Amino acid sequence: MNSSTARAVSKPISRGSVWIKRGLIAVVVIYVGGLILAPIAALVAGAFEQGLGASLKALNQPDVLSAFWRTIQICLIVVAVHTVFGTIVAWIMVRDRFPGRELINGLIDMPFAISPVVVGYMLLLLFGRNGLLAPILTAMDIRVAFAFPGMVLATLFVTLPFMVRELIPMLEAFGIQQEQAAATMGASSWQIFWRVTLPALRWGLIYGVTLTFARALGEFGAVLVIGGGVQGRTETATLYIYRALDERQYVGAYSAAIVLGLLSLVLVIGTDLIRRREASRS
Amino acid sequence: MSIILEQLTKRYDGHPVVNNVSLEVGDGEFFVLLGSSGSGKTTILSLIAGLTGADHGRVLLHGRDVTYLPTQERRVGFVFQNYALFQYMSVAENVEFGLSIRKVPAADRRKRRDELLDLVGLAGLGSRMPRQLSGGQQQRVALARALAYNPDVLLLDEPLGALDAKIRVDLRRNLKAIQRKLGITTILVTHDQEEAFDLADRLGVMSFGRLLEVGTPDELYQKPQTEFVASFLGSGNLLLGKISETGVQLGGLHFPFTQEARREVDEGRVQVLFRPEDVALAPTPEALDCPELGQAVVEEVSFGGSFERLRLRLPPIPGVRPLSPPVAFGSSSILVEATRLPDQASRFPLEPGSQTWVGIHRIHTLEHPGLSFLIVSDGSRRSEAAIALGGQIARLAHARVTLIGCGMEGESMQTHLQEARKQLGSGLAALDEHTFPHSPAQAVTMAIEQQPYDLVILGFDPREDVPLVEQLLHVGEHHLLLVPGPQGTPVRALICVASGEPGKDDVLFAGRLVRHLGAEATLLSVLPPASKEADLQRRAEHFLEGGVQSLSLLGVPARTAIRSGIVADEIAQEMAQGGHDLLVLGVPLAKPSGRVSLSGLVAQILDRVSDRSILVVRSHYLGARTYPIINGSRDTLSTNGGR
Amino acid sequence: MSAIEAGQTPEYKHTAVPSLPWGRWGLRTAALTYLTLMLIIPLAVIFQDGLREGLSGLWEQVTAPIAWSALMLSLWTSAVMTVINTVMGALTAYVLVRYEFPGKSLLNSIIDVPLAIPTLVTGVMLVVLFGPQQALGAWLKEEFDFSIIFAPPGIILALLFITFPFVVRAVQPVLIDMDQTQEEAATTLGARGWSIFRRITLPPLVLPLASGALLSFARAIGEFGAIVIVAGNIPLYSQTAAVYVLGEVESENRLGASAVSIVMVAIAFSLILLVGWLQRRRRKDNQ
Repeated sequence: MNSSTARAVSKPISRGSVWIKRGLIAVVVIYVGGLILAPIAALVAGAFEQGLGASLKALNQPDVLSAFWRTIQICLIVVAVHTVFGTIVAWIMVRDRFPGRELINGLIDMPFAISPVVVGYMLLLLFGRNGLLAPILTAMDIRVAFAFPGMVLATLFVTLPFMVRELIPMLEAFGIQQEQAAATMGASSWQIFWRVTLPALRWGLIYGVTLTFARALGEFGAVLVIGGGVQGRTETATLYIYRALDERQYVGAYSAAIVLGLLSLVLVIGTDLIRRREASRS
Repeated sequence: MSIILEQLTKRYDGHPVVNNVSLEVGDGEFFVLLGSSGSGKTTILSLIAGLTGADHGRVLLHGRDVTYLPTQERRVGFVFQNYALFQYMSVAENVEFGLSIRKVPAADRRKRRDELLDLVGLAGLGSRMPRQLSGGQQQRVALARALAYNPDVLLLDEPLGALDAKIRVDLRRNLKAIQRKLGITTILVTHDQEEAFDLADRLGVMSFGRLLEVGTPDELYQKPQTEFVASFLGSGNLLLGKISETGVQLGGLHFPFTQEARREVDEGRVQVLFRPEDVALAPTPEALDCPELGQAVVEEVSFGGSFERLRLRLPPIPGVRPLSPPVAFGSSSILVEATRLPDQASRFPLEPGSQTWVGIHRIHTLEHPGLSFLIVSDGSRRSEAAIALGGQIARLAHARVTLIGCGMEGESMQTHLQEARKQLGSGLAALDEHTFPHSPAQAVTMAIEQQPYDLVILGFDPREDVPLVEQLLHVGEHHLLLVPGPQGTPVRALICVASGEPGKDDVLFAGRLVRHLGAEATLLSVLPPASKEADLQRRAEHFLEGGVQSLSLLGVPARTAIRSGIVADEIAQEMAQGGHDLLVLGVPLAKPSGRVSLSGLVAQILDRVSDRSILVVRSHYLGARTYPIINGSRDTLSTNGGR
Repeated sequence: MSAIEAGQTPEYKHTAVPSLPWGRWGLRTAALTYLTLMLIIPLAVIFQDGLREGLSGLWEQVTAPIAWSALMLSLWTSAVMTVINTVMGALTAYVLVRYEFPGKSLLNSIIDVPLAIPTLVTGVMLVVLFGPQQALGAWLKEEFDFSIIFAPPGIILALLFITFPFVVRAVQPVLIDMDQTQEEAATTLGARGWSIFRRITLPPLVLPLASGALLSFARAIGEFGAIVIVAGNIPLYSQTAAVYVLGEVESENRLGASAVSIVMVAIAFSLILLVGWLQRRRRKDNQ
């Protein structure tokens, strides 16, 4: 999803209804404030109820830190995989004509709509103790379910659309003339991709990475099911928060929630702001 | 020879966008391909560069056969209409791109880059980004970029199209100078005639995928070989006249052959071209110093800066038919365009309404191609009838005939064609035969790829063949003559028209054919039953009157008829009552998908009138290109009346 | 002589568009493998498992009272949320595009916040704000016996938060690109506010609104993280389908879990295809 600043000059159509205009603006502001800002404020208040020191102390526990570290690791792997394969898929979708393209298009959006619990469950059916691939896994002595690999796979599934969906419109808008020009000048396919296409896709890639990362940070349902949330072994940041709430460690839970939220927020909003500034500068 | 194209063909969706184009461009030559949009000129450039693959033919650059080489290896420089600069690289990086691909060391790259930026007049702008430059500057960068690595040939795709007029002229001058200086073989593609004339050493005119003529600008302007090129390049006056051993005859005007031009000529009709600058105007015929065409009334005068432009109207001249400028529907006069220098204008001032005598200094004649018919036969009885009728009409119309047999195998095909040949007899302008073992629609498609036809004639069974007719209308721009059974040569034609633009073309082609037959015509308009609009009746009458005028210009006696009721019924009745033996129908407008559907009204009519030949006529509004465009008429009957 | 008659079409190995290094087929294989492994196989597995006892077995599991109630709860809460979201989203987009006011660009950025916040955190925030132990929640429960948290309203609230950007961002670009001169022309012809909105502004927005709405609906049905915190998860009352599946997985009722999962996946897929079709319609209309 790209946020776009309203570029149009706004002109209220009926001049006589300044009050209607004010009324509408008020309604929207109250709605957005109540729905979005208020909960955030409440969370911050709740986390710092016992002061900043207590929050930091709660966060500085070994299990909390290990949970966050595990989350970061998963995110990095997921981003790397999707950058490479997402680019390939985007390329095929835009430049190639093949039967079933529309179907694949719909398929790519699926992870978006499938419940994370179902995602975890699907992986469980494949890799679990009684799963389809269980014999092969035991033979090769690999554990996927209730282990790190499973959580990575689950996160890969749910974050799949983001990179592709960012790249496809950019690739479409880019057109092929620049690539054709490069070809006439003697550039090989690889050189064209690397020197002409990729730079033009820069922002698509960056935004795709950011969205993927943010989504992966917040993944909960799927890793809960496939990972089991075993403290110290398969617990991610989100799973820690869940456990902390369960154990009524509110300060810890809220503080961790703020950190997670802040991290995602900074990533997404930050990238968006930078991109808008780049765009307005040119 | 630097660039050689051999029989290059490219099809999209079955239609040839580039149709059998062969061309040779010499070393260091600046060649321009001129044509309107859709003529295939850009595709040819893509084919040369390797951005698209050809379906047939070869491309040779500097003696190398590059037809199957990928773009990267062809060593071409390509300048796109929308520049296609790399937006994320600076101007310098853009220009150096081709060199860095070839691993030229940095110092040499920089030197070459500076040379080129200097050449195109952008020295010092290397560090800018493309979006900081104006359109003209960007195009110069594109040029520099394409030339940096010393390509064998330079290809430019409407490079000046996206620019403002003034910048275009400047850049044009630069381009010419640069090409001269570097001596690189160049092909530029454009739709702008002025540009083509200015830049080209030689130029080629393209239309609908075919390369029509090639020559120097002067040759093509003064001595075009085809009607299309004659009327495409500059404004010209084109009249149809007669040619004989003694010279060319345009009504009362006689142009004797000069000693060099005299040669063995058959008597016949010929297209006569004279340019506006070769028209002489004087108050009396004696004051003219050249053969006189007639007396004219000035319609329009306009001032074009360094010369005066006039449009003159002459009364109809027997034996002469105007081709260009096109004459409006309903009018029977001849239009002539003339230009004069300011001093001539001041010696003999003219304004709209003035009378003047018109003479011609110089003419150029073109062969009048006449009509071309394609007769399709599948061996059935109806086909035989089609062959017979087609042959008769062809003889009367001096048409060239191509006969194709389809759907039959070997022996029977051969015998059938021999029979047909005998039937058609002698006295035809030309006769050609082919066989295609395909269905009629496919056979026609393949035949018209080689040359377009004016009229396709075939046997027709109204119960079965309507889908075939739809198909045939879809594959080309020809008209159709449907022959249901043995017929005599028509003597009275019924032309059914809807008032309005499409109707005009129907009338004109039908009129042409009917004139060849020496037949009469009735123009019929059928109004909806119980129509409350008196307006409708008046419009129909108005239109039909115009039709009669146009037909009289062609030399066809015509009358009008208006009926109201159910269309198919009224037409059938009129056919019977009037003793008509040829029905002429306009094709309904095509659907958005491009397909023409004949079900409904036309199918009904085809069914009713099942014993007479039917001529199905296409109008311009379906994309037909056989006839010159008739302008929206400023020339209404009221003006005629006031003349 | 056309190529057809010559009987030969020359082999032209070159593609019009320069492709990535490994050639078109290399890329297709890579892409297809990736998609198959990531998407197709997991989906196939669920279908295979859930249909183990045939369609009747599936139906039986799905119509069990608790399962059925969970599915219905998911559907109606998502539906209610979608309606509210469509109206408010359209209104927000309109206000953002057509009006100028202080803090407008701040508001614009806030719209994107829900996209960035993990759903779990969303749930936590809502509980903190509206929970029964807090002032507001307690007061509501006292006065109106109305619980937001640990009850369906909480579900709707959480879904509203999460899907808020979808409708707004679907409508915004269309409004921006809209040619206001049509509306101005309508004014000169005598039309007034509401009828201008209804007859001129609204029609081009119908398709984007529909895709935004469908997108939020699809997203909402499967939502888990926020709901598991906010809803209380009481079976037959505030337990959604996703939470139900989790329960069945934990109690090893594989068939039940798979059956309901299949239903959810089927709904999701149809919605996605519908959205795709709508977007293609829009592109065709625009051409």
